[in-house]
Amino acid sequence: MAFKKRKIVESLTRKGFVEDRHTSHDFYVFESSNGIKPGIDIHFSHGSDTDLKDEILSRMARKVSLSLADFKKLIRCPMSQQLFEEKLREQGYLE
Amino acid sequence: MKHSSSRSARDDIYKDALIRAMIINGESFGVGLHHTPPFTSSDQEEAPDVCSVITISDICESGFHLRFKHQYRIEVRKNQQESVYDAIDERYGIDLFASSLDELEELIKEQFCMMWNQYIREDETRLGPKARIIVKKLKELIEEVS
Repeated sequence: MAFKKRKIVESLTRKGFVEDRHTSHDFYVFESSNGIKPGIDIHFSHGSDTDLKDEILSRMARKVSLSLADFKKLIRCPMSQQLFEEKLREQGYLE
Repeated sequence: MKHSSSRSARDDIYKDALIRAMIINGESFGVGLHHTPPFTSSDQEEAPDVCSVITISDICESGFHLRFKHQYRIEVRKNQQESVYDAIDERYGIDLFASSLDELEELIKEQFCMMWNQYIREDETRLGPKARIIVKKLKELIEEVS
């Protein structure tokens, strides 16, 4: 399955990531379902909507504190926002 | 934009710092330098793949004016496989890459602006434990110029 920037942005915004509109670059900040910011954010570079390689996806996964496999699940949909928050809670990002 | 990328420039910085330290410690230049190991490349290189260092002392963009209390310094590595420049600083959650050094510096500045806006200006009760740690570190590093 190809992972394009647009698809990833769409998936993440459905799962709690909110675009920071104060900067000119594409930064997205995660907010939990009860409005808490755990300090998880991600940046998307400008540019064409080409397929992203695993190396780039791995870096994105690291930024949101997930393994590459879990990050792909988060994008594809099997991982819900609730489950993502549970993983962040396990790592001490959320109380 | 200025990148202190050359080895000779870095040598000068280290020499200046050493001389200042010797003055503080009361050592004379000649004796001090004589006993100082030579400035070989192996002395300075923190990691072999560091290709440049970006330093930032002031950010004035995106409606923010942020001043660093101490000059911020981040090492840049060239990712040969992806032909991009990488900058990682786990203390502040920075993990960025760009196709040029100028673009990377711009991104780092924007990330600090984003963090200032999203975390420093946020009500602390709306921050998770690790976000509160980032806020503490950012406040130690940066102040906003009104």
